[in-house]
Parts: sequence; C-alpha cells; structure tokens
Amino acid sequence: MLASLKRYCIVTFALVCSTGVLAQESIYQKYDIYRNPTRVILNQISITATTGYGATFYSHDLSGVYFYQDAQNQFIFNNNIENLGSTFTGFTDWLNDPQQGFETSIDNPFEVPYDYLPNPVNNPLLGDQTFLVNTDTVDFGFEGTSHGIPINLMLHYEYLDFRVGLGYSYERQFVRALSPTNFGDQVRDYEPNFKSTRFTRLYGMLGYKFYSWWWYDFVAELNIGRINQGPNQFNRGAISKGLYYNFGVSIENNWSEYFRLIVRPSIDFKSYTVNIPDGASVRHRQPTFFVQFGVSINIPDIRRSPMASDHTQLKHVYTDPRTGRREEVRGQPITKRQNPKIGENHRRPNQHMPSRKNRVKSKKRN
Amino acid sequence: MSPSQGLNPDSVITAWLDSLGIVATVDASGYYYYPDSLNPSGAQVGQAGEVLAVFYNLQDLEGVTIASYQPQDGDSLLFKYASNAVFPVIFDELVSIMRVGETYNFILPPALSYNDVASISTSDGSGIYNLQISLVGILSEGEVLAAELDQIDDYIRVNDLNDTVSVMIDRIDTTFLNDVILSIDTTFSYDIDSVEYFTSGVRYKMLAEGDGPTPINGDLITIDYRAEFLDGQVFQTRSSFDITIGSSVPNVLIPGFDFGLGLMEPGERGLIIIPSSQAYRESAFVVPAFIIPELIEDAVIPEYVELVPPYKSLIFDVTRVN
Repeated sequence: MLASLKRYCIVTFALVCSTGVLAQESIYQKYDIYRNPTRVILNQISITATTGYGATFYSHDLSGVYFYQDAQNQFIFNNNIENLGSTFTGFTDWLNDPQQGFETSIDNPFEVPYDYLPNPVNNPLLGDQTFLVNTDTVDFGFEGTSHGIPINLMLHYEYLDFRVGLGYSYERQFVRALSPTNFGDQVRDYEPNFKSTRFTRLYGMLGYKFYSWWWYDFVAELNIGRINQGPNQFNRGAISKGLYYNFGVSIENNWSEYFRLIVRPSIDFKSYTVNIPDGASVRHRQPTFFVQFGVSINIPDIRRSPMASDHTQLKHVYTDPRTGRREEVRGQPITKRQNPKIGENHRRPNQHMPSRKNRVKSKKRN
Repeated sequence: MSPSQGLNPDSVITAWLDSLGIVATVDASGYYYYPDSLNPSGAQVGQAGEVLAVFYNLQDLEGVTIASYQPQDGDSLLFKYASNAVFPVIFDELVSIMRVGETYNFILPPALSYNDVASISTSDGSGIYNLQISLVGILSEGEVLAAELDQIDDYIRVNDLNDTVSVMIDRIDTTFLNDVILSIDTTFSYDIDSVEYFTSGVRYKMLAEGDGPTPINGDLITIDYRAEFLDGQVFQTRSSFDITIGSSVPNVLIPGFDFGLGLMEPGERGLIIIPSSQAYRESAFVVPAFIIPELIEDAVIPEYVELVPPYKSLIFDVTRVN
C-alpha cells in the first residue's frame, strides 16, 4: 500500500515537473536546440537554505499534581492521593525526563520537632522554606524563553503561485530557567537539567505567493511535520507529542530567475506531554518565533556559454564547433537576470580591454 | 499626620530629649542612650555566646507602653549574646555597654528598630522607640544548661517518675487507666521502668510497654505526641505523625527527640525529657514577642521560636503507633 502510494507520488511529481518542459517543447524542437533534460527537470525544484534566530517560549500549567519545594528540590507528584502523608517521593525534571526524587517531607524543617538553627535571626536558610500547593486549587506553572539557532534546508516545486515542498531543519537551542507563573516570591525558578539541546524537524510545506512588488515576492507558507527532541535530554519513552505546525511568510528578493535572498519570519506551534510515572502528566506548550534569512536557488536549466569570448548578455543559442549541436546557453551568472532589459546592462569586465582608469590615462596621453 | 512624621529622626529625638531635660549620648550607629540606674561594680557584657538575663520596657516617645516584661511578670528573659539570636538585631549592641544591675534607656530611630515590621507602630507615627533594658545577669551557656538539668531532675522527683505505680496512675489517660486496673485485677503484667538517664541530658521514662524492634536510622515511624514544658504548659500536640528516624533526609529532628524515639518499641508510650542542649538551645529572643508571627512570615526567624523560648527543656509524651 505504502509502496504504491510512493509510486503514485513520484509519477505525479514527474508529470507536474515536466509540465513546464512540455509547454516549450515545440520551440526547441522546431529549431533543434538542445537543452540538458536533467537540468531542465532540476530547474523546477527550488533549493532554499536559511539560518537565523529562534525564541522558544516554554510554558506549562501544572494540574493534577502537588508541587513541592524545599531548600534543595522541586518535586511534583500525582494529587490523586487520598491521604497525603508527611513524607513522600516526588518527581523532578518534569520538563524533559521525569526522575524520582529523594524522599522528602511536607513538614516545615523549622518547626517543632525538627532541628534547631544556629544563628537563627536572618539566617539565609530561612528563605528556602518549604512550599506545597495542590495545583488543582490555583493556577500555577512555569514559563520562560530559550534561544536557538536554526539551520533549515528545503526543496520545493512551484506551480503558478502555489508551492509544495519538503524540508529538514536542525536547531541548536540554549535553554534557560523557567520562572513560576505564581508565588514568585516563594517559588524558585525551575532549572532544567540541561543547558542546550537540539531539535530536528522533518516537514512538508504548502505555500502560496499572495503578493508581488517589484522584485519582491511574498509567500505564505505552512509547514507540517514531526519534531524530534534531543534524545540525550528528552526521554522519548516518557514523552508523547503530535505534529508541529509552522506558519510563516517568506519575503523573497528575486535577484534573478535562479537566485533569491530570503527573509522568513515564522511561528512554530507545537506542544508535548511528559508522562510522570505516578500517572500524572504535564503538557508543555513550546511555540517558537523564528526570523530566518538565507538564499534560494534554482539550478539553471541551461548552462553558461562555454566560450570565454562570448559576451552576449541575453540567453542565446551557441553552436558547438566540434559537434555542430545547437544549444541554448546563458550569458549571465545565476545571481543576475538572464535577459536584462535596457538599463539593466550587466556587462562582464572584458579582460582584453583596458580598465576605465587606464583608458582615461590613455586619452590624456593622446 | 503626626507632627513628628516625616521629620528627621535625629531632630525628633533631640527635641524629645531636650523637652525632658535629658542629656543622652548618641552612638555612631544612630541611637541615643542614657542610664536610669548604674552599677559600676557589676560584671560587664563581654564574650559572644554568654547568656544574658534581662527585663525590658518598650515605649514610644509619647510614653505609651508597647510591650513590657518586668520582674513581676516572671523570671528574667534569657538570650544568647552576639549569636544572631535576638531581634531587633541592634539589641546585642545595646547591651554591650551595660553592666549587671544597670538599666538603660535606648532611643532607637526607625532604621535601627522596626522599620520593616508592620505589626508594631508608635502612637505618634514617628517609628522612634524608647527601649528600656535592665540587665540582671550574665551566665555562661554551660551554667544555664546545668541549671536546666537540675530543673529536669526536680521535675522527675516532684512528679515521682521513678515511682512506677504512682506515676502510671498520675499520668496515664482514662482509657489507659482502665487497662491498668484490669491488669491489676489479673496479673499486673506492666513492667514500667524507672527513668533512664543519658549523658546527653536526655531522660526517658517508659509509660507503657511496646512490642517489637526499636527503630533504626531511616525508619519511618508513626507517633502521637504531646509536647510541653516543665511547668506543664502544652505547646504542641500531634497525632498519626509520620517521622523518619536518624540524621538523614528528609528533615532532621532535634537530637534529643531523635534519640528518645530510637528507644521506643512499637506500641510503646514514654516521656522523652529533653534539655535545651538537645533541643532548641538559644532559640531566638524577640522584643516584643507579638511580632514573632510576622518575623516568621518574613523568614526572619524559624517557626519554632513561636513555640519554644530560649533555653527551655521540653517533654514529649510519645506513643509510637507502629
């Protein structure tokens, strides 16, 4: 079933890609002009590479659990306990990898009958008092922003103003402490047990070019795919997650038919759920705001003119002196428009001509 | 708004002193002081860790008494000198100029007294307090602790804790009394020991026999207890209280209580008598006492200060449930 689906997709893709080729087939056939068929097909695929900055907003509301904090630890544990004893074992690291914590007590360590405190007045240890809250009775959680550097590679095919593509991205993210959303004067920040991690995304893309202005195109893009968290930091066995969605606008400055500079602001919508071994769970929202920039190219469907002395600027037909084959070639590099209009002259420096400076000197001598 | 509100405290204090014709000395820290009575031959406060016995009277500049503890209120109040065990913290510095038998008045500007304490205020709104301190004794901590042991022994003697039969009838509750009477009617099998004395100062008196092993470090046991002072004042009761024996996680017990619980078998009931050296020692001395809850709330002092004053022996009447 899967194999037939793949075959269907490949055939469809090939047909769609060849549409542009067929439309112009008669011209090249009529004049017997050669074009490399591989180049012609590859030309239909745009290759985009971007990088930039991403700010990920972590947040989670704790519910269905007790949150406990003492001088050293922060725990959560299922609040579906009929009689909460004075000692218990909770779970730490509920952001990524829940671990069973030390046995602890809900009793205040500065109450009778617990031990006395030397230098008791204004002792700094007093600031680390225990804190216990049933998160079903109050809105409570943690939130914070982490920073990341994404690297993204995408291939897409464009038909009319529509695009479809596939992409892969790698993001190195530097995680920071999360602040409590409530009781900020009593609860310390949540410190993740890792400083950095990676996220990889494999996604499909749908896009639509909704606006053009001069050499600029504005393309709305929706990416849908799967995200994988760093396996050394995130316990995949304890985490369940669905697809992620990225909505962005690609602003493209078309330098030429083959080359574009891109700025792409976008937002990731994603979440995951960490399942605590005692039956509780914590859902983490994790939207990311990205600003990425990069380049997008199409492999030219025709090659550059092989003649060093060929200074023709427009696309033109070149005849191979050895074989006599007529072939369409470019006169410009891929970063420049191939058929410049009047006023768009992209003359190449002629190595056989003196420079402008030398020409001026020469005129003066004359 | 009171006339003194918003004025420079120095100006208010000097005007107040002038109005009374008092010549006071101003300390570099910013407080003013003058003696009510001097005793040049009295011992002077010297070493950190000494235990000072004091009375006090706290007034505002209008002469309104805010708090007072005088000889007619009871024994002198004890606190450990220069050990971060007194509030306001300037108290240590104030008594450092005094000799035993002397009484001084200290005029404290807000910054040195209760600036951040909302539960105390002056009637004139100035936040300036007149704290009168009488120093009545200087003791070493060893002397205080030795005196405590004497008090404990007196308690044991007065309450006949070594007289096993009468102790049982005096101290046991009604339910237990019925059991004893039934036992007397049959075999009188209760083997109640006399008081056990330990070198740490802890005393243990078994009131009802248990059955099973005594706990070891790390064991979680459940107890019922009633805590009181030697004068019989009960300051805490708890039932079905889970507690972990041993100096490990989660919370460390006061040494005397931890030790006493370690002697108890399941079902056993006993009195654990603990001198302050094995409990809360100097605790903390707060002037006035009614601000203690706010200081606890603000994490200035530990919770136990509200229940246990400095150098108080404790008695725990404990039943080990399991």
